[in-house]
Amino acid sequence: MLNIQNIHTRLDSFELDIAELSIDKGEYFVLAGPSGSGKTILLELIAGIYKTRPPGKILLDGKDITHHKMQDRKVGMVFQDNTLFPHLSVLKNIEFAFKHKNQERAKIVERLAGQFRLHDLLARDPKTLSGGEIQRVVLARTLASNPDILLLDEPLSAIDTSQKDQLKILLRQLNRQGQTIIHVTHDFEEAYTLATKMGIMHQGKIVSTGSPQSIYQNPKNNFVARFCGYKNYFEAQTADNKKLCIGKNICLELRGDIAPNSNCKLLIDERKIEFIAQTAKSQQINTFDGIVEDAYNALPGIEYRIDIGIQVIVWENSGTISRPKYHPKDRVQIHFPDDSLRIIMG
Amino acid sequence: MVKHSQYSAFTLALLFLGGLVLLFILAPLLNITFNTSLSSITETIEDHEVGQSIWLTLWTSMVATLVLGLGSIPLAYVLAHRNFRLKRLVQGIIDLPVVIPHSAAGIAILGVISRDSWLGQAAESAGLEFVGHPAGIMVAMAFVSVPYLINAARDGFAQVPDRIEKAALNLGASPARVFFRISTPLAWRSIVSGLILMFARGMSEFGAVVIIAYHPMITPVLIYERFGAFGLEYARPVSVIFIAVCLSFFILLRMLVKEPKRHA
Repeated sequence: MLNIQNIHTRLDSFELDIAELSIDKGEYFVLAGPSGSGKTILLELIAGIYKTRPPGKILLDGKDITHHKMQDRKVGMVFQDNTLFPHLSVLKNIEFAFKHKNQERAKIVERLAGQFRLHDLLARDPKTLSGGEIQRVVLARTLASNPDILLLDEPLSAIDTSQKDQLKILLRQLNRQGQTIIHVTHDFEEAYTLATKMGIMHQGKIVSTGSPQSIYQNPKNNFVARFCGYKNYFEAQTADNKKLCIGKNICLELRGDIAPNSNCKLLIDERKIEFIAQTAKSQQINTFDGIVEDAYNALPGIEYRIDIGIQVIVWENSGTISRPKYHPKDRVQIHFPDDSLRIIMG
Repeated sequence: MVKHSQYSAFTLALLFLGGLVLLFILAPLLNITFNTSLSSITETIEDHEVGQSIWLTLWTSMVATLVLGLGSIPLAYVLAHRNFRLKRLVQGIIDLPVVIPHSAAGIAILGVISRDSWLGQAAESAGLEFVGHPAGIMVAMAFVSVPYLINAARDGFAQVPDRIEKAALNLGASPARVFFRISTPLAWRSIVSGLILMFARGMSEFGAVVIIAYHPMITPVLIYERFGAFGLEYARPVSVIFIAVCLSFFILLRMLVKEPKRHA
């Protein structure tokens, strides 16, 4: 449905570089990435706020809309900032999306007011609305313009948790009704819970696309892994069918067989790494000496950054203890149990 | 516990200096008001020439403001929203009438609209005269006062968030609809402030107008003439009445654009 090709746009020192991106009709595509990765610029290129240079192309249902004016694209955008017209009531804001005053307009407004629970807000001044109410009105107003694609720029960032959940329900409903959505966020969890397909952006490029599950299960690189929330991700090489090494000094012994002399990625679950008491030096495999570099609160426990030749994050459930058991410069021994290791070949 | 004084030495210094400036502005106005007898004011109010002159000043300045407003407000919008080559030059040109001597401005305008110029001749053949006519007064008033309108309106348009206008375009509205339904209503306070400033500045213009049209006499010219021909005693009551008229308009229009009180 939406096809983006060869976008190479430079804005000041930032460069957006998208070779190809396709989004099918009815998809809920979430573009996730940290701030400054280019998500909003890509959205604004699709909306027509910025124009792309040749050979860049944006096709909507096969029609080239690259040079179409913003108002002719049929692409509705919900901006990150509050864009309600402050001098118009909520009702007038929604009605602004219609060119003509007719019976059809009244019907659509009534339907949207019901869908977004706006009946009590229609006469209100936008300046008196809460963050969640603003987003509901902006969504209704944007949908009143009957867009083929709905673009959402961080729509949940300015609202509290309870309203966030309600808005997520609304967005899922909209998508189930067939509305194609492209949603931009810096929050992986938000992306994971809403997307039918995801793209991860980093430094102006889409570095990974796929279903949320495939991106989470098989992070393509260190950046994607970190963005997905993995704390310990390493590029590794298998030495033989029972051993893999991270660099030259840290090698792990494995119980199962793996292909020898291959590149792989290793994920170590920080919640399953164990501290070994200093009094009982362990002879277990995959146990390493290290030095605590940092210890800090990480709900609902304490996280340690430990140098064992590589930096490893270890999480400890503090239970009722509010202070870290170990402190920077403490010598510790940690053990990677078998179930803390996940190897992704290739 | 010792309560600290509410006013520090620095605050007192600020208040003193600010007070001096206010006194500088108010002293001549208070002086002229209190040194003019009520009887001379009532006598002057009944003077037909004064009444006609004040009416002429008000309507010529009002028409000049409204006519120039038609072109100035769109120009202010363009200056606030578009970046183009020579934009700084355009902004400099707009501010020119503020910095050049107004008598020199009058001479310059006269060169363009006098009967010797092609514009003056063209206007004359269409039955419109500038020199010695209200049309000329309006041109002179507009020339010196239009920067106040353009600059105020430009600042008002610049304060309208770009995203709000983009959102309106994104909803399918044409740029003209965005201008009339979104940008202008959101910038209206600044626009009306600019119109008031232009109107007030036009009313008080003397230097440029006196070159173009000594007659019919607008009030600033009448005050000058009474001062030259009859002295201070005769110029004072006209001045007091005109200051009162100007202030009334100024206060009334300012009240119209007063920001509503914000409740926390």
